Amino acid sequence: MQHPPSASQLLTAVAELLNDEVLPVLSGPVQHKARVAASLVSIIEREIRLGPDAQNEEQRLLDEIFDLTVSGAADPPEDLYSLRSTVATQLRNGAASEPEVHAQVWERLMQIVRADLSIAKPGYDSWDGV
Amino acid sequence: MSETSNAATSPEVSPAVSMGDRLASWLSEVRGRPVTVHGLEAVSAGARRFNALCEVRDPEIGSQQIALTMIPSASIQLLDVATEAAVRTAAQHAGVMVPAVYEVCTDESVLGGPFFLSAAIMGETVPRRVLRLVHGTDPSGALGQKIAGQIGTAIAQLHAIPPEQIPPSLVTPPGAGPIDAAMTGVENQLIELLAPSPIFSFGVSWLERNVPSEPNVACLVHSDIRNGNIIVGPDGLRAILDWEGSRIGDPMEDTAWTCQRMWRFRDDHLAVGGLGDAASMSDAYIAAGGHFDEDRFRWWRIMGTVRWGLAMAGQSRAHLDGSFPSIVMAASGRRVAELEYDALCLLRP
Repeated sequence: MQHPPSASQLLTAVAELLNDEVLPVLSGPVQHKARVAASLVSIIEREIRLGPDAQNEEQRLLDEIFDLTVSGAADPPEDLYSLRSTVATQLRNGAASEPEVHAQVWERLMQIVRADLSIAKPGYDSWDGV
Repeated sequence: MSETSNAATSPEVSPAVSMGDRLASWLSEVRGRPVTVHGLEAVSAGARRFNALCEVRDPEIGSQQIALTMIPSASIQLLDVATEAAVRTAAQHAGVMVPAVYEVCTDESVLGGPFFLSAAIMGETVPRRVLRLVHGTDPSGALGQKIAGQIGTAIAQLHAIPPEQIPPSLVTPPGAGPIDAAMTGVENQLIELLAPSPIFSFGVSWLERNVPSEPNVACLVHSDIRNGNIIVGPDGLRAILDWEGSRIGDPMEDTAWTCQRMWRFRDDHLAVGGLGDAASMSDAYIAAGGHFDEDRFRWWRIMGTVRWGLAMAGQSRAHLDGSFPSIVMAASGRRVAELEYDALCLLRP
């Protein structure tokens, strides 16, 4: 086990360095790329902190969507990638076409994407209009 | 010799002759009189386009502010320069605010790629600066609403171009029509995803169930009218830029694209690029003779969002497979969720 700072704390320090000291002395395309890099560092910091809970939540919600859209007594795949793939195929094939199923699936997909946004773009979901 | 910023060098080493000098000698030949080029300055150089501004001094016309648009390699152009110039001219004749095209050159040996010259229009183009200018000039919001309306008018004028005046070299989408082509496009993008997206799958299924009929009249669409491809001044809209994506399409594709959230830059309540309401745009579109179809508009809003989100995923794939390694392309993978969220907002039960 590494001595502190934690990975998350180190990434916070890297983001501060990039934003406060490196970006101001750059210009042009390199500055743009460095700004993107600084933003990625912050995303990864949140991903380390919030990612595991978000994935568990996604697994739970996809299980529910699986139950809503797959007929019969099949069990949902256990690993997240396979589960996501199975659900995506079901949805692509129209398994959520009925208005009631559409609404139930929509609610769960919305919760999944809100968890992703809390990592990738916090605050983006404060606007929920069109 | 012209007085470009790069000192003129001897003609023996032609690659070192400045771009301004090469442009000046070509222009002098084309116009049949000695023309000089001054202060040529690159303003943007993307993968597909090189844009520069300069002053041309012509003994008959006087001083002209010129925009140079060059395609670095002819192989990656979406639209050949002659067709793009013809589209711009057709749009201009229809009343659309578009920089007038002066000359077209398809000979790559002149500047290293095909190019055209058009009128340089002064004003703001960078989206956040556009919004600062517009809302700073008129905090009441009226100027932004006016620009949203001007965009609606321009789109209606573009769509009113009769089929026989659409440049014949413009590509007609493959398949049954623009709706079919768009559906085929997202199907393929969905298959190419590196990680499955239940949300985009949900969206594509909705698009398929609600697919509209193909438009019954061939219509010239710009396909990328938005905050970012317009020139704006304190007086309002001055020009619509970037005509390289022009094609035969469904008119509601253009109106829907102006309203996507990614062109609002945090002014989310103002649907048209953070400038004005969708109603300002659609009312003006109708007043200028356009037929505004709400159902098709909504379908294209969802299509545009899903397609853009899948394109973001495609950018991260281009980084990973080495076809376009770039931190910016890589970062697009962490932007996919924004478009998934936008798509769900549009698909709200």
